[in-house]
Amino acid sequence: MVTKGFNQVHLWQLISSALPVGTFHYSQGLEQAVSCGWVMNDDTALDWIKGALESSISKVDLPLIARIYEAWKDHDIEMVEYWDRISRACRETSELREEDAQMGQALSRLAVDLDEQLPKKELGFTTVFAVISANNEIPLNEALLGYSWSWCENQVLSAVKLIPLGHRAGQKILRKVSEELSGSVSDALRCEEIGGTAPGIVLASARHETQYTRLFRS
Amino acid sequence: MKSRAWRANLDLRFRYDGVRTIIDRRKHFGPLRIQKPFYPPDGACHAYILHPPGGLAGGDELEISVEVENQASVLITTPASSKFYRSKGPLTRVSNKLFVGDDCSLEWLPQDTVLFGGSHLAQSTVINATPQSRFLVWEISSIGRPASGDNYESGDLDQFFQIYIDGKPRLIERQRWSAGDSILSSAWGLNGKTAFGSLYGFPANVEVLRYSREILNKDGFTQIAATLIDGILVIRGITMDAVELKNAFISIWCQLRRLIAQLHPSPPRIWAT
Repeated sequence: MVTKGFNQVHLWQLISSALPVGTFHYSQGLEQAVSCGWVMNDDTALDWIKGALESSISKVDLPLIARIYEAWKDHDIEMVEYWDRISRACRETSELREEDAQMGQALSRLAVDLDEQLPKKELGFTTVFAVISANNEIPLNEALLGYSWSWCENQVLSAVKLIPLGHRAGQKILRKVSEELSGSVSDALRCEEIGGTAPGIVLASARHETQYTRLFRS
Repeated sequence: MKSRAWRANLDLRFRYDGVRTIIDRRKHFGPLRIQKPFYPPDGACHAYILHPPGGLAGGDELEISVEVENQASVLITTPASSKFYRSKGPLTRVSNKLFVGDDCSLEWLPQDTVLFGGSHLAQSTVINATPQSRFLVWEISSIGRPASGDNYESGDLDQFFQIYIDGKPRLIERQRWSAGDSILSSAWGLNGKTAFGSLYGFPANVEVLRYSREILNKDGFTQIAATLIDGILVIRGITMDAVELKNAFISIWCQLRRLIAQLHPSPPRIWAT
């Protein structure tokens, strides 16, 4: 089905876990949380992922994507770069900054192969995601829903690998956390002031930087 | 209980006069003062900010502006915890604007903030620094007063912290929650702990980071972790009480001061009381 004005499959491609940007390398502190016993089963994994969604993704990533999307549509490169700097400044650990930067580079390279127009500067992943969404006229709420769903899916896949959990248990978590997504998107679209934190996740992410054996880069 | 709200501000500028750092400008309005500075042998000017009413209630507004210029070295602290009392509704607002110029050093090390049950605090701290400046800053807060039976049954907090280097945002942190929110009790949040805080040091590099982590390991602080973000050392902790966190930060500060502020450790005597 093709909705008037945009091709939905472009969004599916952008949020697919097969998108070659290395999403699967990053657990955003979950690996450390599992290693120190804060997350140890499906209930604690669901709580952790919902917490990050509510406190960081819907208060930082999604409202930033919304602003960058609008700025890029208005051809306001200065504002795109301004929000990109804010986006980096909001990432609270070295690993989280590296993650956004490395995935941003990977997505930018891919975007060039796909003949997407991009700003000339090196930008973070959330910024490039917003730019590609705007290029393809993906409605903003769908882009935000897609971004948050793909973030959740990656967190669930990390939990499945780390705890470990069965794949069916993982899908049950994904279904439950998915029920929160339309609320997160509405919160983000109403958000007037960007900024939120999940102190336990930030602590886990900083500790992950010195974790002895690890599968993930964050 | 006070019957009316206090508004107070304090505007300070420090500079080095060739011999030592002096207070070059001092303006105040309302109950907010700076004590006559001390000059311990570390070479910095130690100044205590006093708020004689002792605590803040709903509607109170404090605004502090500090400029450190012309090679000045300043350490600012407070003689006691800042207490935020129960309020029927209006917000208590605190705004700290700190400016650190080239070749200057600012240490902004206030004692902890105590959020009484029923308090409504909006706190903002903005640091504007230059690539050639140095700063060490901490913020320590505690939620309720569990030892006195105050478990923070109501209240809310909006704590906003920003660092700009050369006018560009380098770190933005914002913590916003209300009593009863899951962030207070969940593992991804504060995990039921009632004290939290961060220490920021600039400029820092991987050597400073490695040394900080050695200190944390050696002292067994597992709920405190360090990271290095774009030249800023950030050490964050979540603990059962503010005294534990304050003591940890004092210990870390003593060991990092030479590296970051280029000054010998000389803890203000008031911290020991």
